[in-house]
Amino acid sequence: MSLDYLWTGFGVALQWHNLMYGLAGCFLGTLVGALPAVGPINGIALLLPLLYSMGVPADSTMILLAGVYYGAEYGGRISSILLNVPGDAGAVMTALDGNPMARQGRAAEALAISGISSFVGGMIAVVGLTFFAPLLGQLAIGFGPAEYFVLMVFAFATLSSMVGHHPVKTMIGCVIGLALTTIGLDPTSGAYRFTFDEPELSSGIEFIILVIGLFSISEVLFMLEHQYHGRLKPIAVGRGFPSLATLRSCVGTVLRCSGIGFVVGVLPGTGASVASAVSYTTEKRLLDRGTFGKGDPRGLAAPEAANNAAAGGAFVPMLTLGVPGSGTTAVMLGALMLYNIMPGPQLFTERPDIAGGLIASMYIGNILLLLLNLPMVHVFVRLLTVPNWVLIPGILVLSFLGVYSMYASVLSIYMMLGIGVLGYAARKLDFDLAPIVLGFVLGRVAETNLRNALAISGGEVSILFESTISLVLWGMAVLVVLAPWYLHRRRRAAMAAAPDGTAA
Amino acid sequence: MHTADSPGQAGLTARLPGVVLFGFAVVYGIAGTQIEYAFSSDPLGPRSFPVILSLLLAVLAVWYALRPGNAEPWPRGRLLARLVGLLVLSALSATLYVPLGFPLATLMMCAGTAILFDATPRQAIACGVGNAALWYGVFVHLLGVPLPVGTLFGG
Amino acid sequence: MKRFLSSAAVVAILFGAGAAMAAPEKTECLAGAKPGGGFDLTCRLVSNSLLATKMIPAPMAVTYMEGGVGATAYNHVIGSRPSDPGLVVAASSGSALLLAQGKFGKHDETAVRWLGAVGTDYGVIAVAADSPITSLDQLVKAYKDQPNAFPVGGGGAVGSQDWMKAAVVAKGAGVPPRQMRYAALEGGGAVATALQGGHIKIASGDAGEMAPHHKAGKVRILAVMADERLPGDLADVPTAKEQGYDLTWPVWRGYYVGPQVSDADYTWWVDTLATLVKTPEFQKEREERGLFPLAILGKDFDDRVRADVARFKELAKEAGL
Repeated sequence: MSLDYLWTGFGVALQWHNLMYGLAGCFLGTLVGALPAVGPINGIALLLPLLYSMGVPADSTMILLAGVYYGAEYGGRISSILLNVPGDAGAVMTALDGNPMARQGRAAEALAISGISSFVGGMIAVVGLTFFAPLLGQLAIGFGPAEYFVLMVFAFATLSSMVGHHPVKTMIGCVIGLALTTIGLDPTSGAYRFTFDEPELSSGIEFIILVIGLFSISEVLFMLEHQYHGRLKPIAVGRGFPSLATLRSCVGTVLRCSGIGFVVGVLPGTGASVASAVSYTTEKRLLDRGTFGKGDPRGLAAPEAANNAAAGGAFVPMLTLGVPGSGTTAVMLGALMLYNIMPGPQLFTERPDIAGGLIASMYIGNILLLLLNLPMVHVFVRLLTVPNWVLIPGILVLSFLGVYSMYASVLSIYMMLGIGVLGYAARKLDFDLAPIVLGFVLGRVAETNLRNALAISGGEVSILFESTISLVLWGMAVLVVLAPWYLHRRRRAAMAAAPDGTAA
Repeated sequence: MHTADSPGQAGLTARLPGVVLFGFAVVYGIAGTQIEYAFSSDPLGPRSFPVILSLLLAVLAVWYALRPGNAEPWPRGRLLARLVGLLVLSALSATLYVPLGFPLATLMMCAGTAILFDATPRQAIACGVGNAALWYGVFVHLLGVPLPVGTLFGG
Repeated sequence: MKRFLSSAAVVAILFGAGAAMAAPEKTECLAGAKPGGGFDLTCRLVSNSLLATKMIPAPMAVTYMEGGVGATAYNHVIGSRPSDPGLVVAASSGSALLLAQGKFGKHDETAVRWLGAVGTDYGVIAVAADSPITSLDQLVKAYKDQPNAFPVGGGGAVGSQDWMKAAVVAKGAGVPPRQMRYAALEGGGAVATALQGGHIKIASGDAGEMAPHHKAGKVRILAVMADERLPGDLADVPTAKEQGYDLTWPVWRGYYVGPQVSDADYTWWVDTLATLVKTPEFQKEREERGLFPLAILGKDFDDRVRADVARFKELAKEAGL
């Protein structure tokens, strides 16, 4: 494929006013992402109408929004790492090792690793987007309901790594997450399930409400408890930049997870949350010697590289097929259509300024963001020195607004608070919250696609084993369950982690 | 931290979550078999998943009740009162969004929360006013999200 | 512009609701879904063009209330803001379908005041671009012979508009809708890719979202479910009627207001929309959103919604829902 469009694009994106729009986007995005509980979807959905009504041209709008999108992916980690409050769905896994690092006084180091992993993941995705977009578009087309279901089987297989010291609790969490997805309109039969005639429940529990409730609200309750016990000792801020050895230990993880993240991001119907979950659990399965979840830099680098790669990958189906790969790209697709630009393969030839400008601005945006983020690390860690009576009310208001600005309903805030109490109780009982979220992320995709596949085949289960893609995914699922068991056995490691590999 | 490692020592309280989960699984499963639908184009239908999940959950709940593992003690006394206070305050302020408006409801919530986190009254008021003004400004004027100003004031 | 908006809001606060027969001081369009969807598009259509034509003094706010494909917004307006003169809510023929199936809760279609429809899309039936089938008639005959060889895909559940469209075609082929191998996919884009990938053989969708894929040579639209051929990219696609099948499926987009909005305010909105749809600004906005001309306003629209609901009830019963 000719890369003429890309040169046209750099010509567009490097115009000084577009550079300014790009920079503004990166800055706004980092800000939107950094605010706990407010994610990129909020940012883009709120900015788009504003830009349109101000008469900003299409190329500049897309460049600015792409900046916001990427910036939010960088910024969203800050509250995850420092406060254990994920800003959006993709940042849930980041907190697992990022927050323990911060608690150990390695906050600055964690933020730097997150920034660098994000940069590598983002760059790999843009390069992939540049050179393989049409090819990957074909891959996405190859994914039908059967293939998506097998992909979910693979994802559940990687989840077996989450079965830690207390497998029952992990499995209960996962099943509860799965059960939560069955609330609302059944997308296949159109039946309402567990809605109790309440219209607000008819579209199910929104992911953002679940994440904010489970993490932000329960964290606030825990902080109150620590305050009461006088157990809130100030966390050492830490000024260290990660050592070369630390960075080197993450190289393999970052490259692997960028690859996983990019491919998962390319598939419409799965997004950054699935990408970060699958790469974290895969890495844990491959590398964990009891350090994951306790501040292992690789456990932080994995989801970070993956969700930025997925963010880039999500542009592939949007640009080549006109099908959004994630919630945020759905809003961006809406933006393109608002300007009467229809994405699809013809976009590269008909509007090279848009397609190329967008991709070129991703290269530039990623570099800008790394440059913007690394020096800012020391500003961000100051957040840890803010007294609780200032910080907590702010987190609460933003949690409320993150929900209210999307759903304009008080009931959704009650729901968020209720979920927060459940999250608090679960943590008291020594449950991990991550399996709940993972069950929720994977549940609906798994159920809908299995049922669609069986609807297409008329009940024949063989449809799940028909295509090459499915067979490869089945193979990978088996591999991911067996490989660590095999490795463990060969190394005869002293601590034999539970090798029963359940979940799948 | 109170722990109950071996199953023999675990008290009734420690097993209670298992019982609650079991009860939930039963209710969820029964409700799952009652889902009304005309017909589905797939052989599984909307009931299969909930029913399978409820069975799984029931088994896991029994397992949990037998081996509850570690747990932290539940909050009691004044701590419990504070936690409940925070939740009531939050829920109340959300309820008051429409009648009182976002700025006043937020002022109330933030000031109250600050007090719970050991702020002085002066600090608490500053925190309330600051948060209300800041976020109202950001969302309404910068992002163009309409927030309620309060029906009591004719908004 | 922002300052303008806020000062108008202050005026609205000070003087309460606007005087009758004048534009409401503060206007708002409620989209009963997430940003970026069909209701959002419908709201933006009216809010952008009202401002462009200066028919309202201050920008119309667009707000979102997701839930039940508009059900939450419907109940919210009836329950909490029944007399707000400045609030219009986006609706579509899909709303009428849900009302017909009783999925909007305890309220029926008479619970609000229907303002008007201002644009429409049409249903289409498509196959993959490399399919040997080139006409609706061929499709119906092939489907009749081997219904199981043709899994159908649409962007909605059993009972949705996409399913209904497929069901009427199946019925035309003498196949009971219940026996359709139907996959409910996530929106029109997913339907187009599933068709290209060969996962489904027949797609049921809307002209607006399928036309670009048709134009790009990815899918082949066999028939549009409109009374006349559509202008633009689909001008070469015959209607179902031309091919001997009396199938039409307009997907109108319009608005309603609360049940207790005064006659004067209701009339103001109807008159405003009537003037608006004739302006070039509106027509440009409408075309940009892939919508075709349609204007049914006031009492006519109220009748139309009731007729649609009755028709959908009939269809649902026939299909065994």
